[in-house]
Amino acid sequence: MAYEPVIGIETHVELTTDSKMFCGCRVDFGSPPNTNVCPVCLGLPGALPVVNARAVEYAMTIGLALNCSIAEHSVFSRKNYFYPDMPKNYQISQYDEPLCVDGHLDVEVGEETTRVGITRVHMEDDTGKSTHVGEGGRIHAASHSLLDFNRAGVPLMEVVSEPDIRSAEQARAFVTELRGAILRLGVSDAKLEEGSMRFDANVSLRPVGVEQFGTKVEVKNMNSLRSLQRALEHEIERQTALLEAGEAVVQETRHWDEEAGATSGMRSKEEAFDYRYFPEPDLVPVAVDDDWRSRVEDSLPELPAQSRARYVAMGLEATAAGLISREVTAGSVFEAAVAGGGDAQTVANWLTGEVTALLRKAEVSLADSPIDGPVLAELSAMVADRSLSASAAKEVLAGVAAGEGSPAEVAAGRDLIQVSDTASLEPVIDEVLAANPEAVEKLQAGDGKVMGFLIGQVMRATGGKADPGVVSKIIQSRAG
Amino acid sequence: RTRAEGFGPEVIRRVLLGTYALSAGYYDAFYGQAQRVRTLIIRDFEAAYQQADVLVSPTSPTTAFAIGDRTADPLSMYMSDVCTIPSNMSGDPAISVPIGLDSAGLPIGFQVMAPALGEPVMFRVAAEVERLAGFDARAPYASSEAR
Repeated sequence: MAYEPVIGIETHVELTTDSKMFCGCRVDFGSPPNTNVCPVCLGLPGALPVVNARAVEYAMTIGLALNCSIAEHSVFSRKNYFYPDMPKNYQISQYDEPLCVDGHLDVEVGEETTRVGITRVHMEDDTGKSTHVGEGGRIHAASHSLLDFNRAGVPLMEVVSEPDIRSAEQARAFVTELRGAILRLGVSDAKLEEGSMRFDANVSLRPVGVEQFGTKVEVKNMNSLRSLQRALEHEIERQTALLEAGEAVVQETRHWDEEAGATSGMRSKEEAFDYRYFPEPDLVPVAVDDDWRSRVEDSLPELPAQSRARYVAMGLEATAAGLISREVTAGSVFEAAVAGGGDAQTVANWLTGEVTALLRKAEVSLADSPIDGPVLAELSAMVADRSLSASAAKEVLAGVAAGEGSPAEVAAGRDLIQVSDTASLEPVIDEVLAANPEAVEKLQAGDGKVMGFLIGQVMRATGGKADPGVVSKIIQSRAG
Repeated sequence: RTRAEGFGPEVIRRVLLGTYALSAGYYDAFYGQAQRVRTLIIRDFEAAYQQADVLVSPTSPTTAFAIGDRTADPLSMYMSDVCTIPSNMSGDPAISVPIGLDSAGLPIGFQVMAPALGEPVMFRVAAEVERLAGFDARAPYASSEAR
């Protein structure tokens, strides 16, 4: 029996607003523990929340970028449960009237594009951070736990996808695309390893062709894109094995263990926990009028998917377009280079290859490097008019990156300019041909390999600066 | 274990009542219904304020009772709140003005209630009541001797 995976992803995104969701405490991930706290985010008696307008705007931005409808009237609700890192004993979240609903995100895997539905995007506040002190860092083996409330109250956006994802690879592509969009929007630094972007997955299997969903399992603790894919692959295998053995999948939450390469049951959810949602009485509903919504919509930057499409239209092939559009600076350097006359594919190859390597070695960002659009445009022109060979161009890039000047200056300074005018090459070629009569005979007899030798001789005579293409043509016309 | 520490029996009672009223299966019957009744209360007051600028009443139906007199019967305790609960429900402003002492020397409060955003008229009436009563609540009074 062939089974089809059905996957939905829940993503939490911490916003980079200046202050927290419901109070004025600073949002700063590097501060010493418990230094960005106040009575509101500590849940002290009598403290009242006040909504952070910028956070609402960022939430709207995410929703609009994901093609959602924005509710004119949305409500905050209390989600009640007890945990030491949540001081109010409820989280202020959104329940039945979220800010954004009914969106979608298109995901490409190879040649195939899938439209993954976005059920909702809503606002809530994050909990504090628990550090369990003991073996493995998990609560079971801990002797005690440490609580840092700096994170309590930080604005958190929850993005829930429809169960439209059909493979682990697609899930990874979905999260990658979502993360790229969020980075482009500038609302979060989306660092998976720091926890400013987190995701849980819901996975179930059903026989191919059957509409009804199978029992779903929630998978948590996937801390990187790679572990997300591995965890889902593992879970799909695990559930397949169970079903093929005639056993049932248990509805539960499973914890992914990266080292062990397996998921393990955390707790059995026989019944869903009763969070006793009710509208937050300390806050008025959020009203979004057409004006506000249009202003946010108009200020949306171009998203990676749109950049990719534009770059492909400019002549880039899909993979290069994807790589260039991943980072804002690379994209703008690329566009400036092409606007300055550079060849799209050449510039893209330099950016993703040589330039990336140079920057990494120098530990400098593209924004801080002397390499920019005009530089790449100039270099591209020099390669196009054959004053530089492809390998010389790479050397010039290194020179520019090192601060030696413009491409023309570096080429001259390092004596890399290729000689390609026939007038200066012909005498040299004639000399070489005269000095190697056997080679000339072989060439005339049809031996193609000896051309390489002859070109090599010319290169030696010119100190490596002859344009091999032009030399080859001249030799052909002289001796061929 | 520390979850219940520091809370007296009345607070615990109310927390549990609230939890019960919000729990799955009971929300509509209790919390939802209560919210709807609250809307009716708000409308009742809106209608009343069509006919009056302010509403007045004693702040409490009785003067203070001795500590421990009613703790055994929470409902009779709740009855002390019966004059002040309405404005809590409607969300309208209200104020209590001390106007004198009863024969046992216990203080009496005069409540002035006003419509939503009606603080100006509420304060004007309260100030006039205070002036008319001529009772200085700050002065030491011989309540212990009177008892």
